[in-house]
Amino acid sequence: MLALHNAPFPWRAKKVNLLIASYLFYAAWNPPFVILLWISTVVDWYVAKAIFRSESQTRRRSWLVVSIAVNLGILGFFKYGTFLLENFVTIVGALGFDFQPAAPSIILPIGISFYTFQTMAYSLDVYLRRAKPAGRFLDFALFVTFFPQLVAGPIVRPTQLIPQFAEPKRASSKQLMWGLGLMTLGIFEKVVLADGALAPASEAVFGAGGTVPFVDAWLGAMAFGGQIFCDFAGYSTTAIGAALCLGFSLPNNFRYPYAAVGFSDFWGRWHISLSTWLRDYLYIPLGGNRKGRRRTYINLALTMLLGGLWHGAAWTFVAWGALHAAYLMLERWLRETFGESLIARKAHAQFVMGFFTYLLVNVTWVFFRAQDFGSAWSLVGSMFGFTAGATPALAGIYIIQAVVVIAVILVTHVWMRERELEDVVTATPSWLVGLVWAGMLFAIIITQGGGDAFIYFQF
Amino acid sequence: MRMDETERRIPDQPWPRVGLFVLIAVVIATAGWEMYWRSNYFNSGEYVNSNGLWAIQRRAASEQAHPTVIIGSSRIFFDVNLDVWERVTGDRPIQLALEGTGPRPFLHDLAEDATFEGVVIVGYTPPLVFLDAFDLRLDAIDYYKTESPSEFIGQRLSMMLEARLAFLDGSNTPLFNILKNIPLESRDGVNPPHMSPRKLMTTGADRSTKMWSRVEQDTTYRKLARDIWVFLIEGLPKPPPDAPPFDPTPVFESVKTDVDKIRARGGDVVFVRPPSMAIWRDLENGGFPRERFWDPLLEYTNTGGVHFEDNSALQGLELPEWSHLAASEAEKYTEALAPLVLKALETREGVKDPSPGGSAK
Repeated sequence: MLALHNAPFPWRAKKVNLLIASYLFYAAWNPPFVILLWISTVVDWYVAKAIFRSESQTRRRSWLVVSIAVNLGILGFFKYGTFLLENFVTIVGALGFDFQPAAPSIILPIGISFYTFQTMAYSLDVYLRRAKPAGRFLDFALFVTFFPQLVAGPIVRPTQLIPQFAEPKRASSKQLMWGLGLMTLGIFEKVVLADGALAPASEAVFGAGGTVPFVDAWLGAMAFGGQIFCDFAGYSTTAIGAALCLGFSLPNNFRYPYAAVGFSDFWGRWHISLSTWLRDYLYIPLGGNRKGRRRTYINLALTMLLGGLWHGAAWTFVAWGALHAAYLMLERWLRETFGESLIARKAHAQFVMGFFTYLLVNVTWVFFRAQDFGSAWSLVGSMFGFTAGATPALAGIYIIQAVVVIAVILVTHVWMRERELEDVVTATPSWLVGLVWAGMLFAIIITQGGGDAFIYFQF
Repeated sequence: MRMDETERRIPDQPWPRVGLFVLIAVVIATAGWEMYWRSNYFNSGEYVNSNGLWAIQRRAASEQAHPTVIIGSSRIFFDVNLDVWERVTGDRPIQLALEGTGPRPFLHDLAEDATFEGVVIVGYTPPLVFLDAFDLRLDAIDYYKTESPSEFIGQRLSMMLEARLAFLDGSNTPLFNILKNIPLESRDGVNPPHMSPRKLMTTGADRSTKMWSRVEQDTTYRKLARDIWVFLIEGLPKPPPDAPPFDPTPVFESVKTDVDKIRARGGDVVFVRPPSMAIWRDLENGGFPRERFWDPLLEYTNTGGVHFEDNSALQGLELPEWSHLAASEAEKYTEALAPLVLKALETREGVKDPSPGGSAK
């Protein structure tokens, strides 16, 4: 791709190359599912044009409903079809009916949650008059399928990416080098930190099959918290780097979330592209905080519950969303009741608040990772001292790996909380930049990697 | 870059110089790493025993007309030398055995494959044949069935590197496996990661496999391998004293079903019991005596079999860690085994030495 992108072809030809490469990239997982990408692309291209041309609000709304129905329909069938059927069987069973449907075998298309939200954002932005439809179908198709961010984000807004396709883009040598550096950092986070260092501890605890001691429970949850951060942030960083190598800019998706002070702050730092999408297209249209206190809490809860469900078709994901909703509502209530003084500006108070935020986030990760509620509650019980009959799950080497890497992550996040990576790298001696980069690359090579998929590919 | 920005900032650094430094440093470090492993019994030209490598051979088993296929666990994986078998019989078998995994799911997979019409040589390691708990590499079958284009390409790209780099081994050499193998004191109730089996074999592009030279030449490493077997065997859960004896009938039935399907398409099945000794042989003969398991299996399924205890030519061979033949011994074993397997296929009986000295040594 780099060679083709830097060859002396017309810009339109290069965009066609990128589009074909993106379809091939997606097809490399499962070729028939490219059809879903096409459906989403074609429907939203025509819907957005129809919305833009329509004078009648009723007609505009109707076209929007078409876009939402198609995108959520695809998402609903492939992602939630089995889940809905299982719950339907449970409900009718509770009512005394023995309904045994044929076992469905629905494959979850990779990246479906990401690209359907991205194309819906396009139609929604046109409907809300935040943006005009793209001038060229090629630019829009490329916006939907752009391979660096196709399968796991960042979920990019049309106004961020489509204008970049309007004029020729080619990475300067500086962009190429920084892009390669970001790709190295991302792959290092995924292969070395997530899969190599943290996954063994996480898997040992979550796969223990029985009650584990207090230390194992917390370390296992924190190891998973570190693993999912390094895995997902690693993917996002790699995607940003790959796009930069081609001359395109994607937004940050994480901003050192484990240094968050409170949950509003956390959601401004974790999976930023999703949290802002939910804010702009769900929370605010529902009324946000403009319709009174009670309605604000309802809107908050609904947004977080749906945010949990977005991650996966299981009640444990809904529980994860519900916990975050509860935390956010409690935080809002405390702020409204006691004023901003509670979240004191003093460093030690911020540190304590940040520490508790981190601990509470790790409690939510238990529901995110656990296979079922039984094992989730068992682990949460262990985290709060209910450890009767506990059997250790973690070997010494996994404890050491987890503790070291978690400590490094936390120190890094706290130190980088108000900093930008680009500024830190600029201020670092070049020999040290080179040494760290070479160290990460060498670590990737000697870790070898087991080819484990990114966790967020399943969403 | 924030969500409301559209242009990423680039840190101010002399990037060409930094990039050159990184390239040189990584090449030197990787070369040093490669040299270190090459001086410690690792060689290039050996391949990672991955699901992708297995899938290549599994595909060949479906595509070839009348193939000879080997399934089973690590014993038959190490002990049958594909070059010697080809020289003796004129037919090169396809190696589908996988370590730590029982053969029945693979027999079933071949039985359900309408395109497969060959001969299946089933490695018989008693616990792995009769107990479902041995499923270490069972995911190979699903991988084969669902292999994506990217995985297909990735396997071939990886093999290009594995052919040239000794450290791309997948077992002892990855960084976190090195850390895992540090002998730290274990916590009560936790299996110490360093007491799981280490590298014992080397594998070629067509999965022809033999014992790793270090096991044969390095007495300390060999002792470690034995110690690990002792640790694992002593840690196996023991059935309660009042538990009823294990009933192998369901296993016989499922095997017969699969054997009959393969025979209906013109193929056949034969069982081979490779040699073992010491703690392994005690466990296998004690827990799975042949008069309750091996002999009835052959009779129930009407298949032939070659048991090492019945044939003097298959005995007295060196098993450095009690479970797998040394590389040179595997050549001798295969040379003697091949004609016996052909005879067993012909007679559909257990093949024994004709002389009275055919009993176990």
